[in-house]
Amino acid sequence: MAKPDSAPEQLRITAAPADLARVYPWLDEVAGQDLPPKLLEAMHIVLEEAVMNVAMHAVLPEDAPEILVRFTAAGGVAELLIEDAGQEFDPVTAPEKPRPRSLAEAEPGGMGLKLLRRYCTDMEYERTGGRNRLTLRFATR
Amino acid sequence: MPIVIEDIEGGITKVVLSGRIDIAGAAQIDMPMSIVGGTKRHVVVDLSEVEFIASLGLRSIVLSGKAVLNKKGKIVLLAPRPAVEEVITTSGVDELFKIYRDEFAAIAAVAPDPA
Repeated sequence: MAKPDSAPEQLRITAAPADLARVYPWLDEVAGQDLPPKLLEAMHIVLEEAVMNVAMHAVLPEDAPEILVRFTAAGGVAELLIEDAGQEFDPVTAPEKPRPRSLAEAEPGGMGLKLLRRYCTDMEYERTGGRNRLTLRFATR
Repeated sequence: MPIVIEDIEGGITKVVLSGRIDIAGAAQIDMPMSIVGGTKRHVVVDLSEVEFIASLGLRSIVLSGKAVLNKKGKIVLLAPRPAVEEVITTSGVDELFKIYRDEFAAIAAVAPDPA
């Protein structure tokens, strides 16, 4: 059970591998007490995909190299916000690549979008002030 | 280390992954998995001890698998736990690799053809 209302908790990281790996212990710390383990695992899967998308594809500007991650929970919904100043990318409307029919045809990219869509309840993307804002919502009850 | 590579009888390589194959775990398995991909042709990837995997870990397995296949080799997955298998199925990786529950069957599936 999530707390009825909790203050936003946020993490600022760069795209350095050691920094990116901080997302899981951070999420455990801010959300682990309140959420069932299965939901927390779904959030780990989705959060990995979201921050790795930014790290690998967004080309973060030198003067704004940070990825901001924020967690909130209220009214039966847990929410992760991922924000960055990199190139515009909307995973909500990005087309999924067709499923490869064989390993020979497979490309490693594109699997992550399927995971994003499956493991969160709802996603919302907006581009404001030169920043990507991706909101991922999870029903907690 | 979340990866152990064993050469077992009959020219088979068993890759045992374990624990959390998350961002840090994927970084640890990437190079060994590349070497497996570059050098081995009969590979069973044992996932039974994997507690967590997401897109980075799957990427490492897919890249290694493609390299094995490019050498006309064979590679299969063995015994993922239900939560891990769900990630594999959701991502479509189950269409790229056969998944076996039984180790003997997995080994038989990748074994070199009798001369």
